[in-house]
Amino acid sequence: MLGAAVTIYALFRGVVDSGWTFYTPFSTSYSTTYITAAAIGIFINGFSTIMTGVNFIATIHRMRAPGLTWFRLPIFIWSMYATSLIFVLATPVLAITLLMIAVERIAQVGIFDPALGGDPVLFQHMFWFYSHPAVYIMVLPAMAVVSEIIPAFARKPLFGYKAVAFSSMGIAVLGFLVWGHHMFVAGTSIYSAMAFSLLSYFVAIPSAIKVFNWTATIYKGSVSWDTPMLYAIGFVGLFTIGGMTGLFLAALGLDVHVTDTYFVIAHFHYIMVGGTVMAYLGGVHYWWPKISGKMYPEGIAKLSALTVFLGFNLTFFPQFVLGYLGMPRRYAAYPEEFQMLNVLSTAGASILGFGYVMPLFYLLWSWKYGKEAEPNPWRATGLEWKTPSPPPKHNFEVTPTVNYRPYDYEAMREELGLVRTSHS
Amino acid sequence: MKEPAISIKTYTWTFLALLALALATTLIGFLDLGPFSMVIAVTIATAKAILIAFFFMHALYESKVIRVILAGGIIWFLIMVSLTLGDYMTRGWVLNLGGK
Amino acid sequence: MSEPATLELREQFATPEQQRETASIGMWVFLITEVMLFGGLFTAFTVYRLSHPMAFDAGSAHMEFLLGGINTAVLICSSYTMALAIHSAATGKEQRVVLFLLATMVIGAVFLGIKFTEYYLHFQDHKAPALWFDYSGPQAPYVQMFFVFYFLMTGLHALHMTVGIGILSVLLFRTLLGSFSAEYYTPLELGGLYWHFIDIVWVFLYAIFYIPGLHVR
Repeated sequence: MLGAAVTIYALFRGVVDSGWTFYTPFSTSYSTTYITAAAIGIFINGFSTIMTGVNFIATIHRMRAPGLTWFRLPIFIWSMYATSLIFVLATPVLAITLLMIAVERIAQVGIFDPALGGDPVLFQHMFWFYSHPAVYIMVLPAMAVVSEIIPAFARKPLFGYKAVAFSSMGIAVLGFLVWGHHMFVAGTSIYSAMAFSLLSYFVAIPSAIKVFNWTATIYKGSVSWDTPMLYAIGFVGLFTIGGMTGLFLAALGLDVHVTDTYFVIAHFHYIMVGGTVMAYLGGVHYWWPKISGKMYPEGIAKLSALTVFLGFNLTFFPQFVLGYLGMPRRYAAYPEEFQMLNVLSTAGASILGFGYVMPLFYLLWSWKYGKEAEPNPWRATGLEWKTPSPPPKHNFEVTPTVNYRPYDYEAMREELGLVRTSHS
Repeated sequence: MKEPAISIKTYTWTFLALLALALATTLIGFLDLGPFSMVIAVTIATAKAILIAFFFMHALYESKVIRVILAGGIIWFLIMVSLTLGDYMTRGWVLNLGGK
Repeated sequence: MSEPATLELREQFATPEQQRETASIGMWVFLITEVMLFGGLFTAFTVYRLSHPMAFDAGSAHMEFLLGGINTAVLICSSYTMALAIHSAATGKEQRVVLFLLATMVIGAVFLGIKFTEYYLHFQDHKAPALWFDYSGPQAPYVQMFFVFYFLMTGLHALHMTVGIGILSVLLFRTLLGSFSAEYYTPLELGGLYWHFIDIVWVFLYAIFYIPGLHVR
């Protein structure tokens, strides 16, 4: 919070006109805005990230409940473990890069200044070494949530548990080898660019494995279309589109054409909003009964999920076209011919915004007036559903012992109270 | 009470080895070995680091998890250095695809 | 005053060994974050050194070799006393723990004293970028870059040393309070791990800043 306070102060008291990427030499030698303050704020924030990563890694390694072996862990934990690995390996590099920016500005020593033998591209290397894994920090927890929701609402074990678990680790590892794809037009060597391009193709593979496994989980499942499931399925589709357009960007020739255009913006918003934010909303709805002890109103929740989905696509699909047609990113004004698509995008954004605000209202409403939730309203497997809603201070009155496989819906059918219906 | 895994004798030998290596790297430093000077200096430093990690920090006697953590950190640093240097060292190469 | 028994097994752990191992894993992971932190600077230094080897060697020639060498030996001694402190804790010899912790702290302070003396000498020699930098030889800007990295990296290291001495003083205080025993001395172990790591960083700093200049004289 301290870090956030400092950063927000920097943003509001003055501006940070280098943008979040702090590219040198503008950020170090020429900018007169609150760069140093913002850098310091983010640096402070980094401590919290690192402490979280250390905490999660130590906990997952040595503080599991009795009987909870690695391959009995929910995929949520595997993905959070992978995320924590990225936390601890990437964040310190951002920290030192920001420190170098701050030192260069305060002491005027020109670490990235070509006049002193410095190289601005070196800054980019160090910055993107963190910032690419950072996007996997953002998407792995979302995938974690989806991996929990889909088995629960398809009443089926997650297809290919080990494949999904190892894919999470694969994404974390491979995510560190691709940062150069943010620098294809920055002046790196062509050989370096080719290597990073190839590696960027590889990193798509574990994500694709997860998409196939989620789909296979739904296949021949007993699917209920509750709100969390709507968001999760939305995630799978939209993340796939976002991910595939990433491959477009990994191709060197294509990237030269669409880099720094709206195509890139559409790509990462399909993953971040169509992906991560929708998974986040799905997770909020999924665990809402556990956290608040109340059920949210299902009807309006479904409506708002649909609104989000429609609004999102209307906002960002036109941006793929805009980018391909050549509209650059980070421009305030654009030529006439781009107007129609921009207007469509804005209309979509309004709808999307409305879809976001709706849960704010009905979730808060439900906290006070919603129906009481039982411990396991979704009839899902997972230790969190074996404790009351909301959980007591120690989570469990008695530390549970786990001696069953995860997502074992068949074996736990009776225990969960699942009724086999006549049509199947 | 568990018997400490490492005896004072081991610590003392490690200490003396570290001092010896420090002396060695300094003396070798006086020779002009061109580009190898740095390579040798860093190699000796690595040897010292291994001694400190394995004996003073007990890495050799801890569980496998800790050795994996240590190895992971080193590998990640090497990833950062090698891919970055990969760019710089290939900048001078010329891509010859044939044609004019 | 904390009772050793309650510290030995906190309620979220099943056995003291589990508690110790978890704490140890936590500290090792934190040290990896430090590896990546310093690693960023080492990476940048390597890139620049490979671009301007002559300038960096020339810069290295202006190092205070005697003081740097002494400091290397000093830190190695401090690591030795730290290891002996842990060994004393494991064998229940609390007075020796106090002795060796104090020795480590004093030696650490000596290191810092020598380091700041070096900084002062560099300043007098007009080799302190941002404060007073004057170099009349060839490739002066690149030589300045060498010194920028010298101050940045050894400065960051000195900051970590200072924090380390602070941590040791807290550990010393707790030892004097009787918080530790042969059954429970995990905080001492973790403090030791941190201290040894700082020594490892210095070992590499010595290699990249001081050694190259030895043959350029």
